[in-house]
Amino acid sequence: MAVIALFLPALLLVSRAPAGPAQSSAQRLESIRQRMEQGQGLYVAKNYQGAAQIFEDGYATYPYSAFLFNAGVCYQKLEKYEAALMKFRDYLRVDPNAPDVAKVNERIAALEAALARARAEEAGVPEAGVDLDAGTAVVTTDGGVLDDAGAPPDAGPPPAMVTDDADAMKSLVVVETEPPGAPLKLYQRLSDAAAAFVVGGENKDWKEVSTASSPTNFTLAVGRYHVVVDKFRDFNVSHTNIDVQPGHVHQFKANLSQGEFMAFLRVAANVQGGYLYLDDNAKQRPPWGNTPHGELVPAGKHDILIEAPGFQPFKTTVDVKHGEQKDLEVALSRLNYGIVRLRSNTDVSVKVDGVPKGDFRIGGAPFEFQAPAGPHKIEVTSIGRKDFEGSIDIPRGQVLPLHVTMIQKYPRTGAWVQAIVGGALIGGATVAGIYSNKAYESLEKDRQAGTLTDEDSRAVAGRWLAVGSNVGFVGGTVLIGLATYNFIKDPLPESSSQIEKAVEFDDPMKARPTARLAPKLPPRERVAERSAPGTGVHVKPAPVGVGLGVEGRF
Amino acid sequence: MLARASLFPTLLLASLAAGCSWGRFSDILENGPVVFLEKPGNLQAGFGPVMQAGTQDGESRLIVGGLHGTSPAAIFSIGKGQEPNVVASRSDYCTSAAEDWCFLAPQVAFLPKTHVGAPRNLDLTGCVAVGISEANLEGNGVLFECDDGESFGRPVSDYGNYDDDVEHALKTGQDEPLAIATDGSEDPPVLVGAPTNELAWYYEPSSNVPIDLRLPVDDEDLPDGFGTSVQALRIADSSWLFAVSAQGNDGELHLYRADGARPRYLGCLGGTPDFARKMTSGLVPGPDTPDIGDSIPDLVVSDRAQVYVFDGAKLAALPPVPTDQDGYTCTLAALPESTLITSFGCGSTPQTSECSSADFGAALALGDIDGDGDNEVIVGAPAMTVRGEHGAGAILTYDVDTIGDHELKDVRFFAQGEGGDALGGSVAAVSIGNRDVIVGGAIRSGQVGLFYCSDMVPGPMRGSRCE
Repeated sequence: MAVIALFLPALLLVSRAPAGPAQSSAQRLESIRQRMEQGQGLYVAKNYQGAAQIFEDGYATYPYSAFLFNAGVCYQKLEKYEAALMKFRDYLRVDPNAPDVAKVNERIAALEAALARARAEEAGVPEAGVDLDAGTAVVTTDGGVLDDAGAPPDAGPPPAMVTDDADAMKSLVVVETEPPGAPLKLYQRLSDAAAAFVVGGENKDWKEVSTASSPTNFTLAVGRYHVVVDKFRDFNVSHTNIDVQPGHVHQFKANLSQGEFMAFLRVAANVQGGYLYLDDNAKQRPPWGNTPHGELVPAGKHDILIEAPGFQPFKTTVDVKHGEQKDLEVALSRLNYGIVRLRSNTDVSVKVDGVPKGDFRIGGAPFEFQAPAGPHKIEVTSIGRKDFEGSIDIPRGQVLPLHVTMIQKYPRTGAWVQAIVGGALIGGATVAGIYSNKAYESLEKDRQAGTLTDEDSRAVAGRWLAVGSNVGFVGGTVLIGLATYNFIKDPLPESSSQIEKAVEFDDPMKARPTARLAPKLPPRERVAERSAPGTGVHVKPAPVGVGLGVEGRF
Repeated sequence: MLARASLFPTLLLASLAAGCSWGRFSDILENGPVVFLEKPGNLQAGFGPVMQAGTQDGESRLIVGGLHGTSPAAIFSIGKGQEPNVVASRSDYCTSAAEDWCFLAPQVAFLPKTHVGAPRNLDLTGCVAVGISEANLEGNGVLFECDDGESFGRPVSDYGNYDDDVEHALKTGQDEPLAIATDGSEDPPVLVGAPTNELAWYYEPSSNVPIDLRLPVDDEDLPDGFGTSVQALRIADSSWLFAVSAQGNDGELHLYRADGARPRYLGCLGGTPDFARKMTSGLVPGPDTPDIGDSIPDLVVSDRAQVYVFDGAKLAALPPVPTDQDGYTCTLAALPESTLITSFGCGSTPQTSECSSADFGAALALGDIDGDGDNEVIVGAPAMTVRGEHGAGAILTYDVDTIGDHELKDVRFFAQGEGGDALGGSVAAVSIGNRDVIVGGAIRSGQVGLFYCSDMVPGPMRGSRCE
């Protein structure tokens, strides 16, 4: 359920969902409310017996006096005067300080008279309408109860607000305060024309009907009431109107303001969700809150530490006065380094600016490494795949997701074989050529010396060496040419990278901040402003006053 | 892309430019300085151990045989100029058949012409005394193979019933090695040595009558191996100097002066191991050589380490020794002055080595290698190390111009010789017209090559093979 907060000069009304330990209390009230409304529905449908039973059961489960009163009304409608009398008497016994004690006593008296007459008639008195209480109420034959003017319940135009009458159900009003124990008074409006209730005013047409200490509950008839929580310790006075409908359960909770003894400090930053530490620079306690965060704090100096992943920690001291509300706006500056989160389609090794950074292994976590913010040259290598070289611009205090697609090297086995064989052929051809030339030179030398025979086998060897040399040169050259072509040929694309949008650092406390400005707050009067390098601090005063928080569930 | 596209043809052209031409290898072998003779297929037992050059009608011939005693011989008509006939014109000399033996002689001789008496009464040309056989003979004798397929025999000496021993050898297939020589004239006498029976004899030109050469000792005192090597030098018409070596314990060289059918013993040279194991003859210093120049052939002999060049005229002038004299002394010391023109040993070159064990003098020949009119001494060294190949063998050529003067002019070998080839196991010189070329036999590898080029050949005479 959404939280709605209204800052008023004198009253703070809060409607919120039950949570935590209040859950059982809320469920309890919800159960009471369901029973009350179920009984009210049966009563309106003239199923008085059923309604009476619901109220009886309700009281058995939740001993609120409203159930007794409403059951008595149902029995009265059923002309079960004795049962009705018993319920009304129990009502007064259970709630002797009820605001309507006088009226209930009058109702009891009228019922007792009616019961007496009924018993007399049983002894010979003729049937007729009996004025049970000439001055106050008349019990009609249909069980209705006339008001003090003697008009039937449905005579004349219906009032804007249902007024109390003899047939109306009582409602349950639960009043709580935070902190508990606060003294409170309940005033009832006596006239629709009454002026609005003013604390400490004359308040004509308003009647104090009850006093109590919170928490407490009232069984009230239909009408407008005003609850006033008196000054309590150092808490301020709080008050509000309550419009009671028939057969309902109303819950009111007041969060009392401490007035001049506390201050309200609110801290906002350009990073939402940053961790706030109040007077805990050593972070020995859980965070005071997450930006933006505001809370009552004791007056005086407070150390503020703000941390957010990807940002430089910020420390400052704030001096707040009693009753002062200050807004501290901080502009956190990002870290001067970033993190590269690298993924690839295979195992790779990474260098940045020529410095090895590590390896990424397929199937494992992304490879992350830290590097100074700014442009860098990145080299990614993988066995059997084309090297990748590129530039990345590492953002300050952010994670740069980088996906490198490594393309397999085009197979060069054939080219290598061709090159090796070609080289071997050329090498062999060169050697063969050298030996052939040497053979020829040797033959020529021997010819010059006159010792060369016409069957010299060196000539045969030299001839074949020459043939082999030429064949080797041609074959080797062809193969080298093919190898050159096959070394150059590469139909596969180059390895590439995909740089994704930078993201924030992972939050080790599982609260990932988003780097955006906090929502603008309502304009306040600026009382001070301090700034640090890269960090802006704005301290604003809060209006002086008291407040009452009221939470209602209907 | 343009640069890439131009890379391939550039490399190709560069490769082609850097390639080798194989046609030059055919060119360089064509007209090479060394030409091998083709070994006839029927010469199964070697090629080259037996070698002798001759001239027939101004054309050089070369007799090449395999191992003596078992192999036939072939004759090559080398011809003139630098384009030799490398294919044998005949290769069936001294071919043995079943019970028709012919033992090829270790030393054969070439006879440009000769006459065969009655009953055939033939004038034959181009004959080669190849060995001993019974072919074409009524009895056993020296076999001569001639042109046109003619052959004839001359009876061996019957001294000591040698002919019976020859007949026995022919019947049993036992080799009877002969050493045969002529004086190189057109119709020469034929000198024969039979070392197995310590015999030597000669036939006067065109004569079938063997004339024994005797030593001044009893038969039982004949030196072992007498007749191992023989050499004939023409002194004058019907006058010859015969040299017969005995390779027994020590080398002995016995000299005879024969005038017609009357031989006279001149004495014995020797005194060094294996002296006169090989011999050759010819004009070493030319006729115009001062002091020693004449037209009488000189005698060249070798021992285990040296080659000796003797003045043939002076040897022929030695006084005869009576045959009834008891014994003889083999020495060089008693020779008249200047009879030994010079002697020399092995010489090394940067490409040849191990001279001391080169078997220097295993073969000898004379040839006018430089075409200056006189002969150079060609010495075979079959065990020489050539280019690190042990036993590849080499042929060394020495020029002898004056007394006591000699110079190693040339060393020939097979450029691709292998260890054990034993080039120089046999040598010869054949004329190509204006000069002679060396013929060398690698007796173990069975190769015979003609060395056309020599460092001694003057430029104008070198020819296309020597460019």
